[in-house]
Amino acid sequence: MPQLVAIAIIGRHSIPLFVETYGDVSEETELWLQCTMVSSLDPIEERVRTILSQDPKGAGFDNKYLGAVMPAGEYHVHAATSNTLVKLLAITRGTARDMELKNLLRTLHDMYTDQVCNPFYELETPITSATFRQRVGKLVNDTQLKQP
Amino acid sequence: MAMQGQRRDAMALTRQGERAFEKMEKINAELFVVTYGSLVMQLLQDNSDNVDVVNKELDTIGYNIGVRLIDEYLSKSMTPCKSFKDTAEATAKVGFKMFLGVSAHVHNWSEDGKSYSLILEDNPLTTFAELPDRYSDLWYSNVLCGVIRGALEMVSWKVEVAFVKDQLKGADCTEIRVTLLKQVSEAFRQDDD
Repeated sequence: MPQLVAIAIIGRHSIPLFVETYGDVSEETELWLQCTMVSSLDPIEERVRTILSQDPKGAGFDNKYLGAVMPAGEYHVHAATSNTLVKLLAITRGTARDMELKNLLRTLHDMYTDQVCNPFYELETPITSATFRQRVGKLVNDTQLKQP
Repeated sequence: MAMQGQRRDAMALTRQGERAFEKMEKINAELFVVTYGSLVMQLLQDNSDNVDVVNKELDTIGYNIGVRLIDEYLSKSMTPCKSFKDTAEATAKVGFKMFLGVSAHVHNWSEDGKSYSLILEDNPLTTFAELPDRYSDLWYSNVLCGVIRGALEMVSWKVEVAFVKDQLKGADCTEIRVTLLKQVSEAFRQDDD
């Protein structure tokens, strides 16, 4: 059964806004996962550029779900991005179906937009809200990943 | 029998509030909430994060809104108020409902009948907001106090209005205390020839 091990939100200037690992991961793996998420930014940019070059009006760039952008051994990095250049990443151990990940990342994006509407939250800074962390944690717990 | 009468009045006011709300033009709630949030942030910035000054500014802004809003309230609500007690229920059930879409409850009347609390279980102004520690003395929705003060002043009630509890600060509800200072009777000036 595939498992969600990490979630990250990276801002438009490649600053990590929210990084959290879930489940039983050793400290070493945690650090490695964080590095992997940052290094996946390049393939993501590449993928976005390819999509836009093939389709300059961006008409096909629907909902910005990019799917699995980078394999990393037994882990897979899935990404979604928005026109504001915010990147949402989910790392799974094992391959998982696109459908659940697409929904997960869409819900994560909704949570992010709620956070952004907090007038006290400074954009492009790390998200420190405990409520936000709780909501994402609950989302991760409630998401059932299935094998493709 | 008195209790039944009171309950009937409360239900009538609630219905009145809903009717008045229906008549009002609506705007997008998110836009309103985000606009208010930006206003508060700008005030904090303009006043170098001085929370006391911002609290007062919000109250003043509210006051200027209240003195204008009262006419709209009177024309759409049709709730005649004979006493200070009447204004309390009308503010809670009709006023709040009309303009904020949520009604409040009146609680904790003082013994002399000059002071009461408005309890809001749900404050739309704070929908996305989370108050950081450095602003813990900020009454984020203080504009509401000014609105009530301004509106009541225009109908001859001079009151003091202040926040007691705020859900944004972790309290179980939002509580605003209204205290009557005096009833101002309109004195017509004698024109000197």
